[in-house]
Amino acid sequence: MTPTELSYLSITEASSGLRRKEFSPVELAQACLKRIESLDGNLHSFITVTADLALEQARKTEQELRAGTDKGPLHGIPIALKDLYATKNVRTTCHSAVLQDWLPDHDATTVTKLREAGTILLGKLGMHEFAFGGPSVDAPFPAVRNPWNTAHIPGGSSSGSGAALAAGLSLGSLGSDTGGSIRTPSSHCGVVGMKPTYGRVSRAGVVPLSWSLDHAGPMARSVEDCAILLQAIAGYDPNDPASANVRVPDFRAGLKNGIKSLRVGLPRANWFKENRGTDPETEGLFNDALRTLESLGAIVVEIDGQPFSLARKANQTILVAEAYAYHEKRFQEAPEKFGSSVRRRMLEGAFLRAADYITALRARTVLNEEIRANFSRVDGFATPTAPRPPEAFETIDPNEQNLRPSFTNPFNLTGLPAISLPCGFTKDNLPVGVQIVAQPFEESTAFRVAYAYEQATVWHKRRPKL
Amino acid sequence: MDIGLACFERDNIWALGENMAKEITLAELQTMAKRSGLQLTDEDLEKLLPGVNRSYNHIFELRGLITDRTEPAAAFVASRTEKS
Repeated sequence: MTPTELSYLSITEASSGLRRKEFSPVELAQACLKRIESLDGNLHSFITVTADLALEQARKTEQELRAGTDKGPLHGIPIALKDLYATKNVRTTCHSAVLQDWLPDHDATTVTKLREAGTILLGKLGMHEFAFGGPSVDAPFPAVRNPWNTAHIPGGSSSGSGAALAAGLSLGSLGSDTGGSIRTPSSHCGVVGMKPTYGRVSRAGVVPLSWSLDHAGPMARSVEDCAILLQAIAGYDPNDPASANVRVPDFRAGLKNGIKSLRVGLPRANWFKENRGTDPETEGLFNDALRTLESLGAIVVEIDGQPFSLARKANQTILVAEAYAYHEKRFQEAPEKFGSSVRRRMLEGAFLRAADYITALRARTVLNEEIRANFSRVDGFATPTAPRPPEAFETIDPNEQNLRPSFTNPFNLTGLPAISLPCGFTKDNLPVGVQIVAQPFEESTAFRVAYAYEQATVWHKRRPKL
Repeated sequence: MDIGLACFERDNIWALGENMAKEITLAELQTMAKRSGLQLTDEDLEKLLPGVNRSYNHIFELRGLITDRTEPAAAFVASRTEKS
């Protein structure tokens, strides 16, 4: 197997290959590290590459597997982490001058879980500064580029995760999602990303953007790989006040059960055409995805998109208020350390009144009820992940996101599990994603729908020319 | 208007609200920034102003959704144990 073939293996393929001794954990890690060295100078997906650590962990894994110690499907799998996961003794920067030299003295809970599952840490990934703002032109590290076309953004804020996976630099990743930051880069980079139910995965040790909207979650190149990663990181954590003490099912158990008679809600009315609306090519590919779901036995049910449209406004108000509150002291003492993009967005929170924040929380109650009321008629929802394909860096309009629907925000506001996976490519060969949303703690249903669609299509097999 | 119990009537709540200006001016933003302990230039504030006013417009729209019976989606749980 060539190094390129090795680094593009799925987690399930790599796991099988390691156990059949087709290659060693060291060879697998070296393949990824060589590819990072060769390609990441143009992509900038990594901020810190932990090559020595990765090889040390890989050698240890070799010994463990030889001795018959098998920690499960992630044992020996090279992964990388969005650079807001506290990683003990590894620089963790949030892509910001504010934390440029931070060496945490602890691991995030999810980092500990992945380590105990036997993963190999390749490094820490670029992102939007503090998971907010946009691609940073004035941050201490360069903006991440889209491997499908480096003149285009990879989406954010988990931009390095999306890019590294698409480019075959890592087999799995963790991102975070407060308004779409796992799902948008997944869509823009042609990979798979799951924002689980709020509380399903611990946020302890993940630098916050907005406490009540933040979600930690997996990104990978296949639905099954995402399920494997989620299995390792899900579960109650008393160190996270929002952690849900609920049973963690086997997320892969029903993966291949099909979707016959599953009712998929389509909230197109009063939403998809909001303001500048959805890009026609994106909506066309999404409509094709709906037809594929119907051919697999799903029933598409039109529902009202109005509450979903309003959800963005509540989400944004809560987000900027909480984000500013977290960073207020830094903004008062050293505002110049923040990049211009995140400064502009976060400082809006300084001018909201307490009553405004409470109004948004009260609206959250109403919109949560209205959106969830649909579950008496449908099992979940389907939307495009992003309203348009990834923009070019040269023509980015910072106001663009306010002028189109946000298909991701409502599921941070409601905490519902939502997965994005590829559903096609534009005529310019840029990826487009479809989002599948399920009921609370029904990640298994979201995975089942996504898996059925994925296996009936070829999009997940495409690779960028690098 | 007798504020008393009349303040709980929906129409009066919105009447009080409508007296608030829907748009903040640059001068008001300068005062608010100073009060918040922020050292921001006029150029910074001019860039912030559209986003701040957009947020305010969002609030006005969201207020149309809620009634007196609507509680915030934030609950303190007295029985929660301390962090381990």
